[in-house]
Amino acid sequence: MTNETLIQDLENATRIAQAGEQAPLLGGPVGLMWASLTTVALMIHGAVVAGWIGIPAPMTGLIWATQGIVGTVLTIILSRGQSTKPGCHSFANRAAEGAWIAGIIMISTFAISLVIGAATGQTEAVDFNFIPPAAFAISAVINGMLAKLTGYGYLKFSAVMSGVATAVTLMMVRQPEMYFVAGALLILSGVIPSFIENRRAR
Amino acid sequence: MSREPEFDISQVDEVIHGRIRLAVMAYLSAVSPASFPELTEKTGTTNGNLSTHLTKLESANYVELEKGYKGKRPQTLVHLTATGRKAWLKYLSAMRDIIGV
Repeated sequence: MTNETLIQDLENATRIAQAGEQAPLLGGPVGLMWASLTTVALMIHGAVVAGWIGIPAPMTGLIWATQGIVGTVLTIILSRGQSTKPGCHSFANRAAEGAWIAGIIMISTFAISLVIGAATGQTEAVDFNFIPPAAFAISAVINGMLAKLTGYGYLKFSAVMSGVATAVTLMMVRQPEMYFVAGALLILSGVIPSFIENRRAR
Repeated sequence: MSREPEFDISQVDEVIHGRIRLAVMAYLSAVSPASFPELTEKTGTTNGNLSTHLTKLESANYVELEKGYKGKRPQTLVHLTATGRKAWLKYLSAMRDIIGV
């Protein structure tokens, strides 16, 4: 192997390694689905507590149970074939998968603990209002980490907007309008970045 | 007098030192595991040729092949082993010495 051939082969190998490193994140379809579904659920929840929809406020649990079931079924459908896409096992994709699984477990644990607390008289209805800020905070951490790993601008934007959403929803935690504001902020922090991620992966 | 880069030719890992195996190791260093079709596409080689090179890498314990099914379709995933990653880094270092960078 001549020096020139060696350099060409090494350049080729570098290009291939970089292509693997820069493989796009593949979570766009699932992320867009969850962000959209949660935005709708937040808006409906806000409409219920504002009295615009004539169902009792305690029934808002059904909204979120429906969101969880529909979201889980759609996740299974949308995830089919993802594991055969090129780059699906890149470091960034594995980090994203692990981080979001952990994040969803934590948000679910938070919510379930509040439900158990309410059923046993340990927590109050208003305590459920802390779920959106907690979810935004977890999202800010995850997107911030992924932005650092990948350098993608849309993830930096998502992390910043999630951080802003955490602060705003916490400040409004005792106001019923918080759910509308959370829905609007989720469009900025979740729906739009997921849409961009979806397009990048095509 | 400038110092010539020193290298020991025996440091060049002949298992990795080949265009296809070099490309496979480069891709697996970033994406592991990778599927067989993924590696075929990225290295620009044929299935048969890739199989031959993977066998050599597997014999050296640089990669591990995981054969399974995705639904009803057979799927082979190629993992870079810890031994393989160390060998890859050592190979890169040896190449830098040869080229003098």
